[in-house]
Amino acid sequence: MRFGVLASFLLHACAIGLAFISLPDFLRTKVVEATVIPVELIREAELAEKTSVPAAAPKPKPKAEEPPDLPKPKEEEPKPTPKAESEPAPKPEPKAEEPAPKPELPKPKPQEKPKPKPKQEDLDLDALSALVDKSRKSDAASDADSNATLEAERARPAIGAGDRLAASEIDKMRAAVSRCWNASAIIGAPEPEKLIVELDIDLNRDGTLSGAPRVVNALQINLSGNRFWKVAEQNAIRAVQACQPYDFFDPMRYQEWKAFTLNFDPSIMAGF
Amino acid sequence: MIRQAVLAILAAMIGFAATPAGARVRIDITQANVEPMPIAVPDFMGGDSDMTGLGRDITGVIMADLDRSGLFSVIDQRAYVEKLSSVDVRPRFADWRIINAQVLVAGEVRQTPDGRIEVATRVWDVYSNEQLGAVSFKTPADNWRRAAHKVADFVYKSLTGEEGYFDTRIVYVYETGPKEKRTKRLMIMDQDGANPVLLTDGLNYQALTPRFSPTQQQITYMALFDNKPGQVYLFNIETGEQEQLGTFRGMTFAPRFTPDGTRVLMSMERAGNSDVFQMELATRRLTRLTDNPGIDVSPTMSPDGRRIAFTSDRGGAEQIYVMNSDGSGQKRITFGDGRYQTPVWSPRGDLIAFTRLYQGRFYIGVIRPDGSGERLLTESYLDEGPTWAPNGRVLMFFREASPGSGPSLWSVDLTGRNLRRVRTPGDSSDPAWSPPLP
Amino acid sequence: MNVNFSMKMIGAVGLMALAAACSSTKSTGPDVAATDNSNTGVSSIVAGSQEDLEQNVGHRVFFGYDQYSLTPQAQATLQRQADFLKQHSNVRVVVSGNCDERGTREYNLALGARRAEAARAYLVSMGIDSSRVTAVSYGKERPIDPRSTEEAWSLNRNATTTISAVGA
Repeated sequence: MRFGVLASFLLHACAIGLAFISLPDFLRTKVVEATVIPVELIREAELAEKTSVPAAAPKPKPKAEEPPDLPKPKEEEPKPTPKAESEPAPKPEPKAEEPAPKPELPKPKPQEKPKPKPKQEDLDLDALSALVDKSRKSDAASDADSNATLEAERARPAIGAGDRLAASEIDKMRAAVSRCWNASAIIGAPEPEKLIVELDIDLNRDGTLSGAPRVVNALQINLSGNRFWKVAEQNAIRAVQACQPYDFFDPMRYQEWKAFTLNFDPSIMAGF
Repeated sequence: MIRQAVLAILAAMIGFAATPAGARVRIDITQANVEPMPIAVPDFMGGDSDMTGLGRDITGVIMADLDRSGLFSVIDQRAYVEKLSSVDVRPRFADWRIINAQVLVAGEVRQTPDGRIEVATRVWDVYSNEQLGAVSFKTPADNWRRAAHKVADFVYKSLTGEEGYFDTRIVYVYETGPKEKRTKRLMIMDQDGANPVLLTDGLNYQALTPRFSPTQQQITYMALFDNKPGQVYLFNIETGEQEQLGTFRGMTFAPRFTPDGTRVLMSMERAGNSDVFQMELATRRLTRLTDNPGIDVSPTMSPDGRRIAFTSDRGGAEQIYVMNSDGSGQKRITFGDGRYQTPVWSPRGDLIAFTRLYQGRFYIGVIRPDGSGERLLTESYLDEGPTWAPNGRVLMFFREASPGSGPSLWSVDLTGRNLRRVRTPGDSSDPAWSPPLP
Repeated sequence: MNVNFSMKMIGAVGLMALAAACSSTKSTGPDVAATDNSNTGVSSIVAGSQEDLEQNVGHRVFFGYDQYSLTPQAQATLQRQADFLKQHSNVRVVVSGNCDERGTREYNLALGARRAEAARAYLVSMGIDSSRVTAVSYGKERPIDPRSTEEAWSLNRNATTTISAVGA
C-alpha cells in the first residue's frame, strides 16, 4: 500500500515533468490527476422497507434507520493527489496533466503521402465493426422514419459555399460531418435553436486535422453559462475529430480545401 | 469564470490571427445523426472476486440505464481492446477510438475499511482525450443498485448537460382481474423496473391517478369506493400511513402536488359539476380556483408556481386552459380538433404534456404554455396520462395498444424518439415519476 | 352486475373471477356461485328488491358520447324508477354515473358525476326526497361490457341505479 502511494507520487511527478517536453503516448502509466469526490448514498433497502407496509393497515411504521446518511457530506478521501475534481457542475476540467499540443503518437498515419488509405491496425476490424454495429440496435420503429427524413433533407443545396471548391465536394464534406455529428443529446435540450457552434478546422494533405478545432464562438458559449451549449460544443468538436481523415478531396487542389468553417446548427433538426 | 473568459478571448484572437479571412470554406451543418452515441462501459474493476462480481452487476445496471435513455448505445464488451487496470490510470484512447467509442466510462469498486463499498467512476472523451468528469459513491454493499443508478446519472449529466433521472422511482396503478371487476392497486418500483412493491391491497377501493410529492416521500391519489364518492388521499411511502385529504360530500379527484409540495391541486365535484380547488396541506384550508358551469379537471402548476393549466369543456369539447395561480386570467391555449385532456406541466417549465383524442385515436403531445409549438409524440388506440421525468426530457404514459389489450407503461423522449415499453409485472396504468431520490 | 356486495366481497370476487377467467369452467368458488344464484332466481322476485328494479323497472339509463343529457327513453325509465321509489318508501338508492373507455380517467370521473347527477336530479324533480338518492361517479373504471366495441361503449355510458339500503 505504502509503496503504491509512493509509486503513484513519483509517477505523478514524472508525468507532470514530462508533460512539458511533450510526453510520447507510449509511456502508458500516466496517473490521472483529478481526485474523485466521494458521495454518500442512502441505502435503498431502507426506502424499500418503508414502502412495503400494506396500506390497508396503516400502522405507523417505525423508521428502520435515521433517514440520511445523505449525499451531502462530501467526504474528502485522503488521496495522493490533492486536486479536487468538480462534481457535476460542468466547470472546466483540470487538465493540467495534458501535454499542450496533444501528440497522439500511436496513429500510424503518414503525414505526407498522397493517397492515404492508412488505418492499418493489426486487428480484425471487420469483426470488430460487426460487433459494434450489432450493439447499435435501434429500438423504436420511429427511429427509422426520422432517419429517412434526415437522409432526404441532407440533399439541400450548399449554403455559404466557397466559390472555388465544387458544390459536390462541399456536399461530401457536409455529409461526412453530418454523419459524425451526434446531436441526439442536443435536440432535446431547452431552446436547442440557440445551441449553434462554429468551428474552424484546418486539414493536412492527407485529410487529417492539422490541429485542434477552434471554436469561433467560444467566448459567447462560455459567457452564456448555458451548460447545454457547452455540451453542444463538445459534440461538435467530437464530430470533426471522429470524422477524420477527410480523404475524399483532390490532393492536387489542397489549397481549396485546407480550411473550413463549420457552422453546427441544430435548430432544424430540433423541429422547433 | 473570468479566467475562462480571458482564455476564450485569447483563443479567439489567436484564431483570427492565424487564418486570413476568406481562405475558409464555410459550411452550415444542419443535419446530424440522431443515433445513440456509441459509448464503452467495461466492467467496473474490483480487487477481489467479490468485488469483481459486484462490479459486473453494477456495470450491468449502468449499461441498461444508459441504453434505455436512447441517447447512448453501449458497445458490445467483446469488442473492447484495452483491458483497464485501474480507474486512476489514463486509458489508451486509441484503443477505444478504434472500436468507434466516443466516450469511455471507467469504474472501480472497492471495499472501504468500514465495510461499505466505494464505486469510483471516470468519464472520458475518447476523441479529445479529456476527462469529462469523475465521481465516487460510498454506500452499504446492498445498496449497489442505487450506486449504479447514481453513476448512470453522472454519466448522463456529463454528456448531456442535463440532470439524470435513473435514480428515481415510478408509482403506478397495477391492474388485475376482469375489466368489469378490476382490482387496481398502487405499486412502486425503481425507474428500471426493479424492486416492485405493492402499496395498497385493493380490497376496499380502486386506487387511481397517483402522483409523487416533489419534495417528500409522499403520494397523493384518488380512492374510488363503491356506493360513495371517491376521495383524494395522501400516502406516506416511508411510514405506510395514509389519510383522506379533507372530508367532502362531493367527489374529490385528479389531485396533483404543487411544485413546492405544500399544496395539492384537485378537482371537486358539487351537484355534478367539477371545479378546480387548492388545498393547503399544513392548514387543510381549501380554496376554490375556478367557478364555471363547465367541467374543470386535471390541474397542474408551473414549476415557478405562478400558473396552473387544467382541462375544461366550457367551450364545448375539452381543451386546455391556463390561469394564474389565484384562478384569475383563465385563457384557453389549445385550439386543435378533437379533445385535449390531462395537461402536465414540465418540471423544466417550457412545455405542457397532454393527452389528445382525435378521430378515435389517442395521442401524447407537448405544447408551449402560450399555446404555440404543439407536437404529437405518440399515437395508439389509447395513450393516456403522461408524467415527466424530473429532468423534463422524458415522458412516461400508459397505452392500450389495441382494443381489448391491457394497459402497459411506455416511455418516450420529448423529441418523440426512443419509444419503449417499461417493464412491469402485469397490466399497469397511471404512471407517476418520482423526483430524484434523496 | 351486482354492485350490492359488501366492499370486501368485491375484492374477493375480483380474485375469484380472475381464477374463473383463467380456468373458464363452471367449477368456480362459492363467491361466484352466489352471484349466479341472484341471476337465476327469476321466478321469485321480491317486490322492492334490486331484482325487481332491474327486471321490472329498468335500473339503467344510457347516454350519447360525451353527453349527459337525458334522452326521452332515459326520462321514461327514470319516471318508472321514481314510481318504484314512491312504492317502496323505505328504499334508498345510489345512482352511479359511468363512461366508456374513450376518454381519460380524470375527465371521465367528472363526466360520470354529471351523468349520475342528471339522473338523480330527475328523480328528485319527480318528488323523490333527495336524501334517498346518492349520486356517485365511477368514471370509466366499472364497465358493464368489457368489450371494446361501439356497442359495448354505448352500454357503458350509463347511469345505474342500485338499492343501497332498505329500511328507515
